[in-house]
Amino acid sequence: MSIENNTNYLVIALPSGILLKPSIQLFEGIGIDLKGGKEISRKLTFFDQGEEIKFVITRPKDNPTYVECGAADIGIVGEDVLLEEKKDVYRLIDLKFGKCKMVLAAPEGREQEKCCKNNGHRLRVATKYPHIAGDYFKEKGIYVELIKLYGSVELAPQVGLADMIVDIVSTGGTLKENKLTIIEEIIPLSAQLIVNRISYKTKHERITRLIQDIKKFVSLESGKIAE
Amino acid sequence: MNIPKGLNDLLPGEVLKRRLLENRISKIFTQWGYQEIITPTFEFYEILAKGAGSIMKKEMIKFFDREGNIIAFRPEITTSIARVASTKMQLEPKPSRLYYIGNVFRYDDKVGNQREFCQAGVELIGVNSKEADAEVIALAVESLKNSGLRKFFIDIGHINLFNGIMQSIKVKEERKQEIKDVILNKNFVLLEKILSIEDIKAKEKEYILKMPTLRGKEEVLEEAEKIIDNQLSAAALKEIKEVYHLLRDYGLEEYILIDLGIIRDFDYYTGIIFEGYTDYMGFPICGGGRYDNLCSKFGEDLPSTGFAIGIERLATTLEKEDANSLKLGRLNKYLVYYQNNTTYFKNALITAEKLRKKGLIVELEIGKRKYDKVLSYARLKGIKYILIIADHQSDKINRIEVISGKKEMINL
Repeated sequence: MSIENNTNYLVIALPSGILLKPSIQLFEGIGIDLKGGKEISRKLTFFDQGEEIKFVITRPKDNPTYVECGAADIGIVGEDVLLEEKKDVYRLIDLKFGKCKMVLAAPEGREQEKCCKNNGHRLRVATKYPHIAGDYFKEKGIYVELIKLYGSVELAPQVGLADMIVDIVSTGGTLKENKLTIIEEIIPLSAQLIVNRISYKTKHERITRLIQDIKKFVSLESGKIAE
Repeated sequence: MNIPKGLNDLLPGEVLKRRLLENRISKIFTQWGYQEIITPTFEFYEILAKGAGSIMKKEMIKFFDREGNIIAFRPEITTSIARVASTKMQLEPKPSRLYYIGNVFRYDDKVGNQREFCQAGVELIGVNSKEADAEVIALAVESLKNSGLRKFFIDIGHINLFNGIMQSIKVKEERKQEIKDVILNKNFVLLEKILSIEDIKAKEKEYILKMPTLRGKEEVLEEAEKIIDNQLSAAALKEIKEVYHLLRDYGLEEYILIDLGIIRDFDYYTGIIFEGYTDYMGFPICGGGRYDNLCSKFGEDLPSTGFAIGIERLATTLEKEDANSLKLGRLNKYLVYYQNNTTYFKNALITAEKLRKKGLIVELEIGKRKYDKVLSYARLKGIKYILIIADHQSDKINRIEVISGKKEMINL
């Protein structure tokens, strides 16, 4: 990790995947020219001389790990990742993009009998988020068997691997395609800006300035959507 | 042939560095009048739990002993010292100045953290004064300085900055707990949401949200004064100011920052709190503060303050700052080689003993190996000289410098 040895510039970790584009738009929106992110994806790291900011792209789930150990000062991460794996970082801004929700869903027509009732047979729930799902069922006092999957969770009920799923949904299209209906919305989610707990102190002025700019931009943008 | 997750073997080269660092720190502790204390590695869980917040309780490594008691490995050492101070040293003249260096154990699986790690720290027991607070902070600075660290900051804050506002706002108890939890988790997104739905005065909201961002020199205090609206927080601010001025008298101003956003365990600390930061570490390298209520849980009313340094974190930081900062000046090592003749053996022993008395490190060849084998062994082990004993009893001995091969007759 050669990044952390250079303490003069700010390191910002952007998540790859669907949050990348709005993240780049966010920083371009506050006047940092990332040239649409083309250079970042080619070189992985990018150094904007004027602003002394270095960008790196991480896997979405790795993002808070970079920030927690200080390899990056600032990160952007979906709330689902933070909920699933508790990290000791400052969570400073709700960025209002990447909006989705964590839901409990079951195959259409079967939602009644399976509606969180444990009648004789132990419910099996497939999910990428065993901690979130576990906490949810624990709070309800329902004992389920959690099956941890790494993707395509919606497939599990079709082939009899699980009775229900806990997963994130944005438009609901995938659920519909797989004949699943939402039984309950567990929690609404969006992307958040996180900061390393030491950087927030040692690079306080620069980070605060950046945060103020971002907050302004976010409230402006969400205002636009509201209109 | 594995060891459990989160544990480590320290090989000789690493142990040398570790001991060097420990010695640098314990030397300063000792010079300031602190005496070393050793407490057990594991104790009754209920004792250790008296000094542990909810997270720490979960992170303790526990087991049952043969008698059926719940035992826990110490997750930190302050609670054990508070127990000793209250039950075995209560008659000692106060203040008690104690220090420790020891391993602690936690199920802390954050990246880069170990389940067993070393803490060095002090406890100043039996005095509640600004001078006591200033002394342990100054000692933290001095011990970090003496460890070889060049660039670091100690941030000082106060637990009552938040406790004060929590007492004065009018929301339900469970809501208060929720607010404390989100602050402890540094989740300001959720904090803002909670504050926006609760009926809290605008000034109080501003205070809660602005407090974590106030950090700097004395001007921070003026800014805070403007928004503070309750007595407890105002008194806390005054204490910070007084301690800061004392630290200025120590001449340590350049290392100290006033930081109103320091967040440490609310149930444990009662006054001034502080943490040490460097550019090279994403976690604090030391932390501590005043804990006036802990000893009373063991039956003695002993206001106290102290801190602990994370030794592994400090070692990592030191080597990032300067790769040579934990390198020892090399002592010349000798190897005494005698030719395969048991009558020379005694002379070899005498020679080795003479050199050891001079304070040198001496190995004796015991493998009856051929000379060229011994030479390559010496080269790999970093041995400087080989002494060749080829006589029954002579003070004159052939000395060979391993790297150059230079031969010399020396007189012991």
